[in-house]
Amino acid sequence: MKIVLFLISFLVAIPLLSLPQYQLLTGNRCGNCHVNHQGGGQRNELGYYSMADVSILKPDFIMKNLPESNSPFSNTMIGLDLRAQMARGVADDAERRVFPMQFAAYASHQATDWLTLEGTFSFYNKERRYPGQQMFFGSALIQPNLSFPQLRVGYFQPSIGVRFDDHTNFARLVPNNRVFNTPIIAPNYAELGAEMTYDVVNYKAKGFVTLTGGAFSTRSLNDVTMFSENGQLLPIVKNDDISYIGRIQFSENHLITDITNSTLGASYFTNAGVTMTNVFGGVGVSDAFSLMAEYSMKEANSFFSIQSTSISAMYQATEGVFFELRAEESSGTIQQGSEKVTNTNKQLVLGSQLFILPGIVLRPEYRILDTEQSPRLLEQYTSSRFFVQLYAFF
Amino acid sequence: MSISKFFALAIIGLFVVTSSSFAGGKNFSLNNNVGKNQIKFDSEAPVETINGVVNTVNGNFTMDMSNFEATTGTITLNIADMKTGVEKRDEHMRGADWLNADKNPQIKYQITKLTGLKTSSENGKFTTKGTVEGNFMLNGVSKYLKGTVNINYIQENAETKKRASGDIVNIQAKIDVPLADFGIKGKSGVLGNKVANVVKISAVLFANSN
Repeated sequence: MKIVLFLISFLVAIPLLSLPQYQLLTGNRCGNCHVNHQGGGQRNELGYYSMADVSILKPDFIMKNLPESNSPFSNTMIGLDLRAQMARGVADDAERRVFPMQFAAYASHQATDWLTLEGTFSFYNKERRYPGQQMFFGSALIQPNLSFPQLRVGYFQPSIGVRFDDHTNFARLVPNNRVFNTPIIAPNYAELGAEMTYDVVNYKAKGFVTLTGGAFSTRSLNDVTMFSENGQLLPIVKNDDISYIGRIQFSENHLITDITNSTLGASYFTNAGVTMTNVFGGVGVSDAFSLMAEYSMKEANSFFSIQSTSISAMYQATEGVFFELRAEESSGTIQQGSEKVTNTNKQLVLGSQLFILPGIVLRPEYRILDTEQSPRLLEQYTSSRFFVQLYAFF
Repeated sequence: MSISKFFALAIIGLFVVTSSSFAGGKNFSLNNNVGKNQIKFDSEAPVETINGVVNTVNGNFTMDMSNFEATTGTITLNIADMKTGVEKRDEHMRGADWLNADKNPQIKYQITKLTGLKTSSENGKFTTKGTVEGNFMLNGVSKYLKGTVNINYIQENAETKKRASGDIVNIQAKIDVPLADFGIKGKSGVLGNKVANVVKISAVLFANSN
């Protein structure tokens, strides 16, 4: 049977998160521009106004009418991410389609000096929902002041590795011929849990060592099913287990040199079923260039054992014009029915982000994807495709 | 001419000559040929340190090596020349919520006097340390601010002539600028958090006498 299962059009309801590259291009850590420490979701006021007027074109009537902030009410901020994509599946006869991809609305409220509440509604099509993906999530952020640890409690995603804005990043996927459709950590994956984050080192507010630790339920991860050794599709983790996350990250802004920013870190996520170890790092020259890498090891009892490497470079040509090159490889053994196979996927992404108007981004992309399986039980493919996303944010 | 008129003119003439010799000091202008003029500004907030620099500084002042206390003059920089290393941040810094460069494109420090000086001299080089006082003008607001100052004054000699004509002066000064005092509120939640309430300015200036 011809493999047509992989269709790019299946990609729906993908969250646009923070760009970790921006940390390296600006020297701002994720939490400087987002309400939560790990980045993504609701932008804070600095995050809003840092990007609100970034644009190649600056028509007067738009620039003069840009909202001054994302805070329409006292101590309350809102945000919005909308995306549509034009894409074509990998099948030879696949047609190019345009479809909505994301509708996410955010709100946060600073109830007191030490308590902020934040929530997200991210619509998805139930028929195309990724296992583990959630529509509603939110948390309470508790921090008496900036010198104290931050406690985050609620329904949200553990701080695993680098939270890229691109759900096709291999670090969170299972390599197979439906690669983008088989996430271990789905976009908008969320669990009930708590996380504590603390800057154990704050060297002149230019160099930080940040520790994160937390515990989460596994009810959402229980949605992810894979073939077990006996050929049955089973959840990779029980739903009454507890996941633990530990993370350490060093980040600096113009500390080592006057123009560079860098980061280095690792996270370890584990429960009775799944273990993920991520090591990541990057260096950037302010306003010019960033280079990031992430290595990920994922294991789940008899289900899979996978390693992946991702390297991405971003070049900022001028205000609102970014070019990106990303190379990735993921390989490992997984159960395919009752057989154990070795899958290897490779991906090369050449793309750009063009802020054509304030809050409007055009993201053309060219992807080359290659899948391989040994022994080859399923048809594999090599594809090269052109995609375009239109993204609007507030 | 009567004798009385002659003496009167002689006394006036003598007064004019002595006044110009001892009371006026010399006029100096900042000059990059003497040394690189640079002003640094540092914001150390809890979550972010911003180190900025200005490499284009203009200024004129009058200084008398026998009376440093009477130094007066003005140092001027264009906000457009202030760089923090991140372009977008520079753009925000120039915005209406911060330094408001469109309305007040320059920052000036009008030196009115030096006080508490301790001066020493050796082989034509004078060194003095103390306090600089004057009017700091930012965002259309003028406030009287004091800072520390360290001055090296070298009389013209064969070595100084290789750099510039006249006497040469090196000034190192530090001044703390409380932004709120100049009506700068910034974006909500940013001042005191990501931008320091008080920005520390340090200047290294070089000038020669005209």
